Amino acid sequence: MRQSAFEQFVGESQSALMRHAYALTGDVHASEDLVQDTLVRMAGAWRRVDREGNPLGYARTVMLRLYVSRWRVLRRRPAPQPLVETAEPRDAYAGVDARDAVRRGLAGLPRLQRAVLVLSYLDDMADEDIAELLNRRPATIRSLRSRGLHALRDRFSTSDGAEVGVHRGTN
Amino acid sequence: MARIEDLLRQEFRGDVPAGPGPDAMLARVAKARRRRAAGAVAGCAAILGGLALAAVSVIPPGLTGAPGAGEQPAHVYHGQVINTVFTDQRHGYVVQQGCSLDNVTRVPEGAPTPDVHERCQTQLLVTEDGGLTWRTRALPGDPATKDAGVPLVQGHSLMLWVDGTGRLAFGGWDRRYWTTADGAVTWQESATPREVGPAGSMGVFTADDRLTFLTSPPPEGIPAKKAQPDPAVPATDGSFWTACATGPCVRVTRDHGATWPAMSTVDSATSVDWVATYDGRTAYASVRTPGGYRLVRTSDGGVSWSDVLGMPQPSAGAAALPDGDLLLVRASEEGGMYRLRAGGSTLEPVADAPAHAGPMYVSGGMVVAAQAWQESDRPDLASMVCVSADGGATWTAVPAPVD
Repeated sequence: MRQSAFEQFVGESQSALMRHAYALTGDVHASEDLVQDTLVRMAGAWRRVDREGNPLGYARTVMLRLYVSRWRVLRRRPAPQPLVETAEPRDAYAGVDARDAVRRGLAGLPRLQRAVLVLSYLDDMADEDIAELLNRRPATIRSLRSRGLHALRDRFSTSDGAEVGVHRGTN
Repeated sequence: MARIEDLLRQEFRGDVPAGPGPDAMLARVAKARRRRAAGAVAGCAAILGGLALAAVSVIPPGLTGAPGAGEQPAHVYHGQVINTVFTDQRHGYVVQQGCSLDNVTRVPEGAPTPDVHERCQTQLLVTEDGGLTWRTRALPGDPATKDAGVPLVQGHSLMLWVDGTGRLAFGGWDRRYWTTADGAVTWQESATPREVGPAGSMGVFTADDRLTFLTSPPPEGIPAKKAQPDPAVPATDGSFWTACATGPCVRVTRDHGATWPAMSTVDSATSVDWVATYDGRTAYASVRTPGGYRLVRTSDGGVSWSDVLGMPQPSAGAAALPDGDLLLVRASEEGGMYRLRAGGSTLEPVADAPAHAGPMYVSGGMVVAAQAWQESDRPDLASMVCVSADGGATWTAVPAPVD
């Protein structure tokens, strides 16, 4: 049976949408929910979206706004993230597991800060484009990113033995 | 030693759980749509009321994003440069902003994302002696910071430019703009809206800071190149240059944006971070190779490129000068400005230069180095723009923005 354009879009874009959703939520089930909610809205507007010619871009915008929206925060609380240290302080592996520390740090960030970090470091989007997407000023975006990075650096500096170089480079 | 930014890239671009598969996801979407359609009529009023109730019940007092006394400061302060324009080596103008912003702290799980309030003061500084002294002048309005049709560039935005008659022009909201012919003492509002160019065109600066609209942007768009001060770097020969969004090439238009032929750099390159040129013949590009960052150069308008030297880090800013030299700022914690002499192959440190400049360019014969973004827990910000009248040998600082 011939696939509809929407079904074809889901088949082709689901992995990309899952990547974005997982980067935003850090949780498998929450990311599946986020992709589902995004596609529900896409389905409702599919004719127009398909006609405009950039459904993946539209889906990512919808997903981002769902993620940061008050409605979603209140309605669907994501599963608690493992913020506690899971390794013994003297565990040799704990000190070098920077990715684990990044995940725990990200889990503690406000949603807007995390969204800005995802758009900056997953999508390499320019501040002006992020500002447009989130309906904020570019300066606000820079500040949100700066605060998010600062919080992550603080986490590294306070975590026991995390051997991660923290540079305040300009790039 | 890994940088936190690199760790974030690795985290976001690493393995992702596979998810339920397209068929299962389509089934979930269909089920959710059926559920939504059934509850749509009764749901809207309940949602609106529920939102208000939930907002009250979920957020404990004092946890709305504004920290209490003795914790973190209630505000953070930041400055940003909108643009610096010199009409000649004596007369220059800087528009910059000082802002205070609510300090967003950790939000408890389940609490709504707080609003972020921001207040900004825009300042116009004017010099008549090549940047040695500056005085504040009144602006006729607020600068447009988001305006359809005119892309904004950090530190070099199209809100301050030289108009067709050689007067300084300042752009505000709703396409209003004003011009001045007496050093910003008086302003005259234009009777016509500020030009935004034909649909599909791209607004950029020319080499003499005039606003122009290229017929079209490069085919794959403009990459986010932080070290390149403009979406398309203007040259005095009328060409415009930009790094390819993908691939080891630069794109150059010599017909005002009608075509953007790609010009390959060196064989070892995998991508290009930025390109800098002054005259459109000599140009420099920062390329990535499997062995690290390399600086490459062309002397024939981009037809052939040669490797110059390796760089330990990418550059935060770079500007090609009229004499063929290149100034670049090292993107690292310690920063530092370096000069590559025309035809040379070694970098020389530039003494007393701004160490952490971002956008750099030549305007009216002056070299402008701007720290496009600054943040502080205190309202007294530092100077964000330095200018040089002698090709980067000596620098003077523009007064800091004020909140």
